[in-house]
Amino acid sequence: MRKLEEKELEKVQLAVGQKDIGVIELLAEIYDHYVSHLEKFSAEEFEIELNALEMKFTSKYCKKLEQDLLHMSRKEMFRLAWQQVILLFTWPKALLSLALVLAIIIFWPLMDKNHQMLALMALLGATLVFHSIIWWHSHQKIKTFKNFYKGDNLLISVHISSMMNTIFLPTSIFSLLVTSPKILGFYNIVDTPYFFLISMAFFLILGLLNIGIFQVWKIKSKTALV
Amino acid sequence: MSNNNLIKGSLQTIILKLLEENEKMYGYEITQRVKELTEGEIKITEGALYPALHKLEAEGLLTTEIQQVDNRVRKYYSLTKNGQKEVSAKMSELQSFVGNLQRILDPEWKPGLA
Repeated sequence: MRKLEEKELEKVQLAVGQKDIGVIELLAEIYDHYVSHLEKFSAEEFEIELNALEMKFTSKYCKKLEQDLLHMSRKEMFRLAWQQVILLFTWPKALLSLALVLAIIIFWPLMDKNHQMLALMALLGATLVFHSIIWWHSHQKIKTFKNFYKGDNLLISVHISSMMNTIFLPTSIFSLLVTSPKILGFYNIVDTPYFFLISMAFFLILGLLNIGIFQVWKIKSKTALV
Repeated sequence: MSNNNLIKGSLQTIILKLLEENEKMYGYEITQRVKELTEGEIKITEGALYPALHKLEAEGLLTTEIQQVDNRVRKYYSLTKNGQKEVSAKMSELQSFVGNLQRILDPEWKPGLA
């Protein structure tokens, strides 16, 4: 076991950087695999072993690994976020959570459409600020670990990607529900009597998901790059 | 025949068992530990290892931790509470399968006989 020389490390950085990976956790994992493996061989064997690794970690394989990782991480984030939401409805937190949900269900229909829209905009704005803070926090962590990376890709934590995706899904569905009938020339959903139900459901789902994601972030931020 | 095909179905159990015994491990360390324990007979390929690790993490059986080691980032895997529970279930499943396989290959074989 030896420490790799600066030139050798640069070759590894270049090889890993060329794989076009945008997820920092995967890039770091592959880089660590390369270095851990190469450290076991002499300087004379370095090129042969590096080529052998390149044959295993082809760009195609790395891309597939990245796509699968993103997919699985999204599923995991959704599961974890809802798990945290369910925890809000367990004793004794359930008292406060149920009171808040009931208050929204009771007062939402009493509000006029402008106030309902205003409440939605405020929640969307808060969501944007919350995710920007998480992204910035993650970016600061990534910056300190980025010294091994020589590629041009903008690196992002897999958890940031999955957190944003979790919020993106209900937001997109709501946007589609509101805008598509109007664009297609059928009706304006805001003028229908169902609007208060749709907007209230979206407000509750987005609010609860944000709380769930915040709890997941609090746990993950201790050990992950978020 | 390459033993990779035979290993494929038990890879998750192997990973969980190793992590039960070692608390936390990183990807390359797992490949080396398997190689060492089997005296080079079984080699876990990178192509199978990382997807399996990511899948176990997504299923909530493993948790990860990022640490800085020698100026680089290392991703350690360890068992979650669910993962700890799953190890014994997976081990019994595998042992039962190996026993049944043994009965097929050698009908005279009795459990406990060398």
